[in-house]
Amino acid sequence: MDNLSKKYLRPRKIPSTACSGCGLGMNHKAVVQAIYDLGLEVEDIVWGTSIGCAGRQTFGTWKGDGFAGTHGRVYAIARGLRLVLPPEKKIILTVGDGDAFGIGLLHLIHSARSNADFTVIVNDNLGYMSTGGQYGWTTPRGSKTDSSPYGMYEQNLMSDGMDVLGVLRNAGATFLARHVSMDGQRAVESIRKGIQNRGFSLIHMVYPCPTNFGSRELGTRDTVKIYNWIKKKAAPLGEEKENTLWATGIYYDASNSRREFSESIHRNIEKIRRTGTI
Amino acid sequence: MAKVVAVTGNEAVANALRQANPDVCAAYPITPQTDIMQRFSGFVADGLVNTELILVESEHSAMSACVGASAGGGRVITATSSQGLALMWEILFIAAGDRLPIVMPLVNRALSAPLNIHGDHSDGMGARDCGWIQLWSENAQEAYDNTLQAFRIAEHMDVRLPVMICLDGFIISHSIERLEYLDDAEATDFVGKYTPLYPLLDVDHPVSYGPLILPDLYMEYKRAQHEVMTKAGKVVLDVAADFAKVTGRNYGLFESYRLDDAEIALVILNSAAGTAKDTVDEFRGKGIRAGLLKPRLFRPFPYREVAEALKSAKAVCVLDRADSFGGFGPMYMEIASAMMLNGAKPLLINKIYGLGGRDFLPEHAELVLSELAEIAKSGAVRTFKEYIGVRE
Repeated sequence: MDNLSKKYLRPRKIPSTACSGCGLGMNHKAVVQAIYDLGLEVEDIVWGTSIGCAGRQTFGTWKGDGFAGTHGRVYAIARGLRLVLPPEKKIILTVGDGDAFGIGLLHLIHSARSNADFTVIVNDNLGYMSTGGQYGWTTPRGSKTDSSPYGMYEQNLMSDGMDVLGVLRNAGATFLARHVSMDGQRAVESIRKGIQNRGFSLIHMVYPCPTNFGSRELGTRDTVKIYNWIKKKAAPLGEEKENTLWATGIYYDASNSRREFSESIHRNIEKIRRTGTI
Repeated sequence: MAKVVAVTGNEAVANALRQANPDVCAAYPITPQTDIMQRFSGFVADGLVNTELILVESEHSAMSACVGASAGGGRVITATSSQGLALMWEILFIAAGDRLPIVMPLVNRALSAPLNIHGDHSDGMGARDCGWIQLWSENAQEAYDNTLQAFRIAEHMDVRLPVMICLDGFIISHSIERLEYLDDAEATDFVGKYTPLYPLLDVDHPVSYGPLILPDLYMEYKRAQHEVMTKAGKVVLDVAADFAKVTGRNYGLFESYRLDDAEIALVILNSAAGTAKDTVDEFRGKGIRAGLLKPRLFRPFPYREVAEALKSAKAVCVLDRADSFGGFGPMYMEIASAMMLNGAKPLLINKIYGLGGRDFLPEHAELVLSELAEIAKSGAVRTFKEYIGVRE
């Protein structure tokens, strides 16, 4: 266990119960590194988790306050929490792609619309892997999964000119980035900026699942194969190639440009009470 | 000819769904149910069924899609567990209120919080009042048989209500057991063809599903819903009689195990009933008149029949794998109501067991039966509601 884990994470939860070769730990580490780089302490952060691989592996790992939401509801819980937390306290949510972009998308959009101050790390293993490997809403078109044995043919949120980050940008998000888990320091920098934005931030982080995604799509659980498969399909923004699925880097940064959700409510209510008008 | 196989509960149920060949299936994964929809989607992909499969973005959407497809005139299925059923809750009432004969296996699992993926009955019991018929299953064979019968019950013209088939998460869903399948032709013949009733696609006869009804008519509508539920019990028995003709396996509203002259009795659902039957046998071997009642049809609940079956018992323990915090367990409340109806007043105690997948062992049944024997002898009850197998 490294020093960062010792400082911020509960020793009995590390290593996690993730499958061998799972890439989620890289994302988790990037989040903790960003927290450290910002000089934040355990008590500065409330950490929320969802359901599925991302929820199960990150739940209860944070030494400080944390909560586990039901599937897709963690954003609604976080909005409620934001209203009562002091503004300097940070909320970080580690969730999965099915949670954020499927069952919880409505709450996510309203969190973006209202510019609620929390940072969502969407750990994307390209489908519903904890239930055995069904396709989801970011599963690359044509991928073989348990529920798409001939290749995923549904419209997803990541192709044909559609991008879930575009949906969130139009909904009002003020910081959006995309990475793959091998991005290392570049991902840490994006997470750091996301945490510094007083408003809705989301970092979409694709990571390899050798067990259920790799085994179906690539026909092997070889960790190196799925890592390389993801790396080949990722390129920094502006350096995309024809086969690039994930253009990595900061997708949109309007940090601190729009009033934050709880601040807006508190200010307006205070003004109405004081003056009887907005 | 029946085919004998070794399969898990989930596989058995998935095959019953395949044999029923539904028109539409809405699927969303959740442990421990996923395996049913997973296998079913395989049947779709392999062309073994003529089903349109929709992968939706939540269980709320799954049940909503079922409502749409069923109102459109199709035979419709889905399956879920735990939080999935909880998220469907709003639409469960719509399915029942609109009289849509949707069939849904429920692989029983505990409810959050705290999060737990293992088997208990909190999910199914929480859906008690939603207007669905509920069939409970001790093992894979019963889950398979109940699923086939569910289509006949749901789609019966005297019923036209949704049916939930409950089986224990992991204990039954993921354990491999000996099972007898019906031949595909036999099963398909037993389930029969689906006849739509007032489908939305019958454009010459337009209908409205679920519009606003104000206080002037709402209560009559709900009264009618209760009326149809009271008729379901007879249909359940008729369908069971037909099923026995095909398979030789007999089902009633509940199972009576050595109850005829029983002085002490357990009432217990699903897989734990199988465990407790062995202990009942041991007590019988010692000359103690013990018996067991295992409910099958929980909604509508067969109050009079259950009361009649338990009439010789002096002391009864209802074991609940779900709790009503601050009250008695849900099954206990039903049995207490049943006993009140025929004026029998055995000493009735309640034990909560097995929450979140905690094992129910023969020694637990033994402890309870010993306590009942004491109660029957002394007439004194120490505690009416108690938790067993728990650290306190």
